[in-house]
Amino acid sequence: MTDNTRTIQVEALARVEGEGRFKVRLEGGKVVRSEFSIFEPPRYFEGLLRGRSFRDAPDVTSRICGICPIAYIMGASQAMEDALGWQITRPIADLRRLIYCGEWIQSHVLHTHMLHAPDFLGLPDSIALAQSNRSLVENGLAAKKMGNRLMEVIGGRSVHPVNTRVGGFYAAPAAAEIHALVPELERCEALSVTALDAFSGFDFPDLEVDYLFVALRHESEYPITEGRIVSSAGLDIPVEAFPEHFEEHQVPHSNALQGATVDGRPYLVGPLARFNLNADRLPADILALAERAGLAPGCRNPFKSLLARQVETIYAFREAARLARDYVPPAPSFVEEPPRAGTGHGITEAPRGICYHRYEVADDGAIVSATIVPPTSQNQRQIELDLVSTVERFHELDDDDLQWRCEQAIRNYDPCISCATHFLKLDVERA
Amino acid sequence: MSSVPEDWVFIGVGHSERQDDGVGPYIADALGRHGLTAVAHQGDGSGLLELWDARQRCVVIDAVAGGGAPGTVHLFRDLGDPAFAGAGFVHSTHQIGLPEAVALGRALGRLPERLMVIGITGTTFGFGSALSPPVAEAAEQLIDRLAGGMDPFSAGPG
Repeated sequence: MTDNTRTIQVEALARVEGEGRFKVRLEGGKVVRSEFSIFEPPRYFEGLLRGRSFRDAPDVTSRICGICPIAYIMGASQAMEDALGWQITRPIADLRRLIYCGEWIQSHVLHTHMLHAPDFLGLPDSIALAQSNRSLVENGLAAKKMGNRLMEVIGGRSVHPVNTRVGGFYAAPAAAEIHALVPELERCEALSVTALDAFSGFDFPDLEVDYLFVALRHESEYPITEGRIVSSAGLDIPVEAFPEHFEEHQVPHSNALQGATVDGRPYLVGPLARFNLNADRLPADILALAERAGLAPGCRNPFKSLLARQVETIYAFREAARLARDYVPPAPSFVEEPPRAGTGHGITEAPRGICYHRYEVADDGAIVSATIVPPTSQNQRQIELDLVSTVERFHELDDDDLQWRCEQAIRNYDPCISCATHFLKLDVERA
Repeated sequence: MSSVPEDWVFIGVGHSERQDDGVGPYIADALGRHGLTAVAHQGDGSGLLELWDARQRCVVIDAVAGGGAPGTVHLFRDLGDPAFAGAGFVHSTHQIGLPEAVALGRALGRLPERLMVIGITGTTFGFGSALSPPVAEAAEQLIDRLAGGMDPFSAGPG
């Protein structure tokens, strides 16, 4: 180490999920080497599924994550229904969208209010935030509670719901139970607008990244459970074409696979990608709220993902209230036909971005092979590049402030390291 | 029925399928059968905050790792004490843990009038519902004493 070499090390990164490390070497303000390492051990879910019944896939894969189990349940269910040739009914699809709104809300609100907002205020955690801005935290807790409530009423419990299955739901909630949620959903939408106004006053670091955005796009709805895969480079493909356009690579310094397009380009999934590719699918007044807050279509500032999450929270409350108001219990609550051999694909928009499932099923319904590509795995390479951009852009900050900025940059992704086998020690070496 | 006041609530935190981690829910279930207000909870802090609301006195029962021989009972009455506040993984990843929930509740003015934590040192945290013998013995003794009207806010741990 020379006199003008400095090393910054973060022993553990709080407020993200999982374990990892980022090492970077700087020369003259330029990053000459970087390694983003994930050292949380592999979890072998795809191998676990082989030989099990197709019915097990949603419940087993939901255990990949305690924050976004619905994403795995829905992706697995859709892929199995595709493999088996089952067609679910519109009321079942609507109920799935409703419970998925619950997951978006509880996941987004936890991150925006409790984990990410303190970064922008120079505060260490949500406890300090509660001391300085009590109403913001109270609003967040109320909103998260409502997201959990949706999960409980429809799914039986807020973590790893038990009422979902391939084909639909074991039992449909009573209409009165769902209709009763509407007033609180409406109140929480208003609380979320207040929070967006508060977030809009944050000092967002000035950084623009040349992202390739990838998200679902639906013919009429803001995408949650259905759609085609689109990108900011003009890609527009059906779900089953995912493996032809995207792949995962093993890198020596990480246990997690890193996603890229088949021609090697990293890409971004998640709220900022969804917003940019689907802003015209938002209700006009919600898009206007986003723009008023400083989030306009075309935004490439990763730090503004906080705003995108909060805009999506507002939308999720609006959409949940609509679906709850119109709810009629699906009858039957699930579809079922005899198993058959086949291969199926499923993609939904998890809170952190598209989550891909592919299963091959034998004629007795046993799973022959499984492939799951979670959003944080797809974002892994892009997180590393964002860190490089952040270090170069803000290299003049002192070590502590640069470390803080890097942690903030990682939290832009709300990374779920456990899902991708995932997070963070930071070493910055300056030469 | 018990002589324990109705506005008390006992919250057993833990996972009943992870051996000694399930001692909290195990005790809560037993206290419920004795007619006390007791609930089992998986421990997410935001949910605990909701349970604490509008309660005069609240006793949280949770397994702890370390802190003496298996089955040792710890009474945390001063939750600002570093022995408690630093005991958990305060900055858990996507969940608010018990110490963080207490700190958050204090910042938000949402703690019960009296709140304490009873910790029981566990030894096995694998899969299964069976408690280890020393933890099961400690649990039964605690159930007898709490159901018998012991005031945990003033009684000793023995």
